[in-house]
Parts: sequence; C-alpha cells; structure tokens
Amino acid sequence: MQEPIVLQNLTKVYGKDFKAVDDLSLTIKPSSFVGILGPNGAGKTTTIKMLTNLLTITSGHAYLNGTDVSSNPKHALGGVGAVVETPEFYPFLTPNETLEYLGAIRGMPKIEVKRRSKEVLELVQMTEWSGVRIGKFSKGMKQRIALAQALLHEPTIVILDEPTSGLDPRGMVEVREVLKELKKQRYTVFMSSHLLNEVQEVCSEVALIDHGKLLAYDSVSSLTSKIDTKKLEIRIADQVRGDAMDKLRSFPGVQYLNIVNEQQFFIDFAGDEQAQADLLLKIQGLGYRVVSFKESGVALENLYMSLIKSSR
Amino acid sequence: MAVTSTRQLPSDMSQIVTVARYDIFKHLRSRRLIAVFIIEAFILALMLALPALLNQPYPDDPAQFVQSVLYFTFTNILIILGATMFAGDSICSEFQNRTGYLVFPNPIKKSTIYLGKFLSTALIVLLIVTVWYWVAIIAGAIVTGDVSVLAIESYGLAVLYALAASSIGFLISSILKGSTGALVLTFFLLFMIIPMFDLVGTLGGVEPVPSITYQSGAINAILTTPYPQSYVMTPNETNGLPFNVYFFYPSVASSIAVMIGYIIIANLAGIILFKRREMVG
Repeated sequence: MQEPIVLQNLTKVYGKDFKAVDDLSLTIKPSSFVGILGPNGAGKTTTIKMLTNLLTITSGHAYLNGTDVSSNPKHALGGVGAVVETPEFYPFLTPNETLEYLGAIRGMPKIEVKRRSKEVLELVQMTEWSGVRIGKFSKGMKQRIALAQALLHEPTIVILDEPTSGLDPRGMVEVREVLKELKKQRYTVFMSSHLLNEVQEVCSEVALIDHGKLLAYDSVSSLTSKIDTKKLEIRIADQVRGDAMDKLRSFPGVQYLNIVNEQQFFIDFAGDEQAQADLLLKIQGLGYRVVSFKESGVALENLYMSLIKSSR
Repeated sequence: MAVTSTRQLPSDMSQIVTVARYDIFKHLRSRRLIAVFIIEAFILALMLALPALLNQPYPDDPAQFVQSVLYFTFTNILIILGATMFAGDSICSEFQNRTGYLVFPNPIKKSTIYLGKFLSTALIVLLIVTVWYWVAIIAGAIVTGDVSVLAIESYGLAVLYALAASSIGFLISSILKGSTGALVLTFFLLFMIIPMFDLVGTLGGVEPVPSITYQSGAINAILTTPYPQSYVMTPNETNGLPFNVYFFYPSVASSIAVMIGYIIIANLAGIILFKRREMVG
C-alpha cells in the first residue's frame, strides 16, 4: 500500500539562511495518528504549511498519497482534509453554505454534501448552528466548523495544525473527543501540537522536532518506554520538614526533590511500580499523612525536554 | 464509517464557476453592492429629472440624451468605484482575513481561485454598468423614440473599461498586503494618479496612448458626432496662448486594444504574483 504522507529532505529557508525546516524526512503509515511535537518555532506549522501548499518548498519533496505537492498540488490535496492555524471563514456564509462551497470545490455531488454536512456537523456538535452566519461565532465554534470541513469529503489524510490552540478548556476537551473519534475511524492523521498531554492522549506515533530537524520518530508507547524517570507530585496534610526531606533525597530512585510549598513537593523518580509503592511507604514512614501521591505531567515530557536540550 | 479514497476532482473550469458563484453570493449579501446601486439610482434619478426640474428640454438625439444623462465624469467615477469595491481587496483579503487558510489547502489551483474571483467581479461590474447605461438608453428611447447605436457602442467601451479597471484592482490586490491600502491605491490610481500623468503628457504634446484612463475617453467621445479629432492650438495674436495646447482624443480602435491589453497583462501578472504569494503569519 502507498504511504499516505512522505516527506523527503524537506527544507524551508526564509531570507538568506534561516532554515525553518531543515532536511526533514518522515514516512507516515496508513491509518496512523501521528503527532508532530516541538516547541514554538520548531518548524511544525511550516512543515504543515508546505504539506498543504500554503508555503513553497525550498528543497526536498512532500508527497500526499504518492503525489508531489509542489508539482501537482490539486491532485495531491484531493484526498486531504486540513485545518491550518485557526482559519477564518467568510462571515456572511452559514456552516451549511460553507460546506456546500467547499464540497463543490472538491467535486462532491449536492446530495452527498447535504448528507455529509449533517454527519460532520453532528460530529463537532454544531448542528443547531448550521443555519447561522459564521460571523457571529466564537473562536471555538469556528475551530469546530474547521474540523467539520476537513472531514466533509471523507479524506484519506487529515492534517491538523494545533487543533486545540486558543480554545478554552471545555473546547479543548470537545475537540480532543473529535480527534479520538477520528482515530477510531482509521483516518491517517498528521497533527502538530506543542501540548504533550494532548499528543500522548490522542496520537499513536510521535515525531519530535526542534529547529526544523527531526529528533525522534516512534510510537508513543515505544518512546515513553524509554523514559525511566517520572515526576511525582505529593501533597501532605502536615508541614514539610527539612530533615525528612533530606532522608527522602537519599531514598533509592529519588533524583531530584523540589519543595513547592509547605504541604506539597515534587520528586523526579526512577524506578518501577514496586519501587514507587515503597517510596509512598517511606514518606508515610516519615510521619507524613499523604493526601495525594500521583504522577505529574506526562511521560513524554522528560524525553521531550532532554531531546530538546540536547539539540540546542 | 469507512475512509474513502480520493474522488474524481472537478475540472478547473467547473471550479472557476463555483468560486465565482460563491463570490457573487458574497457580494449580494454585502453592503457594498447595495451602496453602489443606491448611488447609481440616485445619480440616474437626478440626471433624468434635472431637465424637467429646470424647465429645460430633453435632447432630441438619443446619443445626446444618453450623454446628457450619464455625463462622462459620473460614468468614470462609477466604474472606478465598482473596480475599487469589487476588485481592490479581492485577493489580499484572503491573506489579511485568513480565509486563505480555509480555501487554499483544497484541491484547487490558485489560478482557478483568481479567475473565479475575477469572473465574479466582472459580472458584478457588468451589472453595474449595464443598469447605468440601459436605464439611460431606454429612457432615451422613450423620450426621443429612437435607440442610439452610438450609446450601445459607448456601453461596450464602458464594459471594457470596467473590466480593465477591475484587472488593475486585481493586480494591486495580488501585490499589497492590506485591504485598505489596496482599495485606496486602486481608487486613487484610476481617479487621480494616472490622469495626472495623462495631463503632464498632454501638456508636453505627448499623447498618453498606453494610459487606461486616457483611453477611457473614447466612452464619451463616441457619443459625439462627428467623432472628435486630436488637434493643437498654436500661439497667435488672436488667442494669446504662450505655448502650444494639445487636445488628444483616443480612437475607438486604440481604446479597445489598450483596454484588452490591460485586461490580459494585469491579470497574467496578478495570477503569477498570487501563485507565488505564501500564506505566512
């Protein structure tokens, strides 16, 4: 089977020598949900913009379903649905009219546009707004309509650029639910994000990039299995004592201890689940009444930070 | 739900029509078109009623009737206004308003988007010019009992000028970043800047043949019988002129050729610039 997305030595140079994307090569397998992860300015959006023909490619190639985006963008984008940045809509059109317009551009018969519009607006929970002019919509509502239009023509590839960017917490949860639905439906999804928890929650594979270069590309489970240090957040009902903290610092597996306030501290801990259970017992053994003892942040975070640091 | 493969994409021509259809839809829902038609209706009503209000007779000749009602300066302003409002920000607004992020990642060539938008603008300005002329032509037919062929020829030239002016608006829109700048530049370029060069050329005795605004003079000249010819007034004892004064009139043929030239060259340049333009920021 043809690989849906192939990037070959993709490079984007601005001005004389600023490389926003530097010799990036990546092959995305069919039906995979790939997150492209990196700090601000890493080259995520530039990569996506080159893939969707919004930016010209300085050198290298980007193929969508086997077609070169640079030489035949119309054909390459035929099977693609994309949400890049937060697109704006024509304010005088309603979601239904917008979907009709984009459906016509993509060659969908009217009856199919009507059927799919109903389905995708239902998916993004915008059915009741389908006849209202988009000019009145909030950013979150527009983002959901953007997702709807990307899925309208049942594309083989969905490209999303920070799909939860700028949304309130509720909007983020709702969009993530849509993304999880896409995962179930076996779309090939290529999504950029700088939110580690989001990537870990919805993606099956991750490409880590910084300064336009690929640092790592593997499945989420494979990458997280390489991480042996986790961050633990501990809240106690008593006051933190210096002598007890010193004892904790010397406990096997404790690599770093950070006291946040009088009743809360973080521990960078390397060890298996048994060792983690022993640590909890140790803390209780020091006379502390533990209110909560949990992993903080996401497993990708440490790997991400170490890779980013070593690339700089 | 199954994820389907790529479908048969529509032809470029079909997509041009789709883009034009929705662009016209946009214009119909916008206040701009209503504003232009209100201005048009007001001027037409005023010019048609003015002789009656002033107890002046209407011209007997249908061409003169149309000339008196449309009055070239108003025709010129209306066409420039139309080109500004419906072409001036057509392309740059896709970048400035970020609607390009919605449309460009679709299986459609940028040249197709450009041509679809131009087709929409062409139809809108055609409608404006058609209403403008045909109200006067029909009123002339009612008053004089005859339809002027010259007025219809003038209408044809006005349509060409409207398309050429719109093409310049599209070119400016493909170059400039902001809508306001593009709208202002389109208007002043056609209304003041190019006519100033025409004036300087004329004063120097050089016929400004390549100028679009100079060539638009044929729209009015064709309504005059006989067709006015260029001439020069040389200083003599009776007129007291200090230097030669030139009066140039574009021929219909040169007017048509230059207008078509503008339509082709401005749009070709506009398409190339639009295709090269990136969606940055």
